[in-house]
Amino acid sequence: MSVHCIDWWRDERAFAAPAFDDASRWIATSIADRIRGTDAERTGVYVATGDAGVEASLALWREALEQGADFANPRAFPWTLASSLAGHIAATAGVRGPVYTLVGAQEAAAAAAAHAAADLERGRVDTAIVGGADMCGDVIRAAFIILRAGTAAPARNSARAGTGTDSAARAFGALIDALEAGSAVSITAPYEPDVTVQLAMVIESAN
Amino acid sequence: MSERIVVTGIGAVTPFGDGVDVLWQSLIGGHTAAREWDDLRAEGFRVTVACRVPGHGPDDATRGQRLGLAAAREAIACAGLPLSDTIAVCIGTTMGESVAFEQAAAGAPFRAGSAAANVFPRALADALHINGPVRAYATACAAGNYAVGAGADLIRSGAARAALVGGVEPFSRIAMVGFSRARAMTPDVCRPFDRNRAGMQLGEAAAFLVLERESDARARGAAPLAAIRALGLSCDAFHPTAPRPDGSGMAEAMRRALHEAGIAAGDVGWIAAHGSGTVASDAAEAMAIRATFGREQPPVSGLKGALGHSMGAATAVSAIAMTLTFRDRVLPPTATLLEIDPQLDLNVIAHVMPAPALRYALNCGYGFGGLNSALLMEAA
Repeated sequence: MSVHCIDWWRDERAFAAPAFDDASRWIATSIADRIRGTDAERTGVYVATGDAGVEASLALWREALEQGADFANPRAFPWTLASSLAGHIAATAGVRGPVYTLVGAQEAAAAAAAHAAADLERGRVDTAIVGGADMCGDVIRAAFIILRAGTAAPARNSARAGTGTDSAARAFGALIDALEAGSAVSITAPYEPDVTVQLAMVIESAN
Repeated sequence: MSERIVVTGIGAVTPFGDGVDVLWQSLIGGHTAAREWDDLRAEGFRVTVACRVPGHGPDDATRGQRLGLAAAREAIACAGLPLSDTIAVCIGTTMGESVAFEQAAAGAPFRAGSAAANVFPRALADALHINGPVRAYATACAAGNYAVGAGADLIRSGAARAALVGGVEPFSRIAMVGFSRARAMTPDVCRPFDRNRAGMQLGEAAAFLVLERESDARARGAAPLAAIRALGLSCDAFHPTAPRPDGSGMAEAMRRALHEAGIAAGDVGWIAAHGSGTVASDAAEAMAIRATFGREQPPVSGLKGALGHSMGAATAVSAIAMTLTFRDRVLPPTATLLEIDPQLDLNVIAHVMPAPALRYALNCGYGFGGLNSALLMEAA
């Protein structure tokens, strides 16, 4: 059984800090637009990130220190969780399948892709939204691919951004480089360890 | 059916103290670890009752790593597992090393890699000299179940020979502020499924299980304690913090676990419920259980009255309780329960109950973002 990449999206954008909620909405909306019409129950979200939740955690505790623990604004609390981005993508896109957040850089990106491919392979989902996001700093960066099992739909291009492998978003950006170069439009995924290795190889070959 | 993945070791550091024995005796005894904390009162928290782990040094930026290492060492010793580079480490957490964030907000130097969720599996792998796959699951309060399911999958796929899986959650003042200001916490004691339940209570814990193929375990003379059958996952896609009121997302996770394992709802003999003690979550979970099990509803326990809510570690602690339940064939009660909410129509157990024929049990955990998990375990 093959797992096919049918679409991808990546972009980077500057936000006025702290950007945790606005940036998540931007990413979630961008992805939701690309999966309209898929079966929500049969779609999963697999996010890798090294820093989702960090800005909100710092902002909430700074406010607690300034205002007192009993007076801090709780608005930031849901965004303190690293899973907030994946949850927001799922809510915006209406996804009701598995929703993963793996924390780290390239290794988390490969693991997220492996989970997605394994779920497709085992029939747990038909569509997988897989990607990485760097959520701290002056520029928010995100790169996502959309995978499907057992189809041969043509891949489409999207925006280009920088590549590298020191973060999950850059790792997926490098994977998209390879996809755009035509070296990995179709990803063969017999089982999880092979998928991990192959995705890692694609990422490495793009750098 | 693929070969069973079995539990051969367990270890835990909980508010009852170090080790699975004190955890189990406390759960069976119907005790609660909730108590008043002077430091929280002095720091101006509205809610000052919590379930925190005694000892293990101060609340500092490496506390979670210390708790995790203590629990992991107990699990590995219990399993008698020879350490090697083909052992996976999969850890779930909600807040990561929370104190590192708190110190950074106060002006201390900060590096995300020393505070975020992946600090735990990396620290444990380094300390234990394990070089296998290392994964950090930041999937809110369902994270422990995610880690257990992922470790089992890594073994099934051949990516790892064994897996150290579980959850780590050091006490988080950020979470105290967040839950308290969101008015989700009870000032009294957490009472899951009680008519007068008033909210959740924050906890702290680290819990680990060692997983192996059954044939590998038996080949080296290790006795399986329980088996991991299937993990069902779903998402509410509804609200950042609130569950779907009809519990349909939770029920879907339960159904997916049963479907993947190929067993009927009536085969499940016990549910370790999420049971956070909030009005909305417990009501939604009750609807999910009723929708999934109908008239064959098994006994239900909510362990957060005893342990508080250790967020990303909570389902890992419950998986250990489930393992011990299979061993001793008794179901732990819902500590602190005074009067079952009759509107929930649940078979909640208030006292320890014999379960001589128990074969399957379901470990449920849900988190912010509508993340739902149900881990199906089987007797050894």
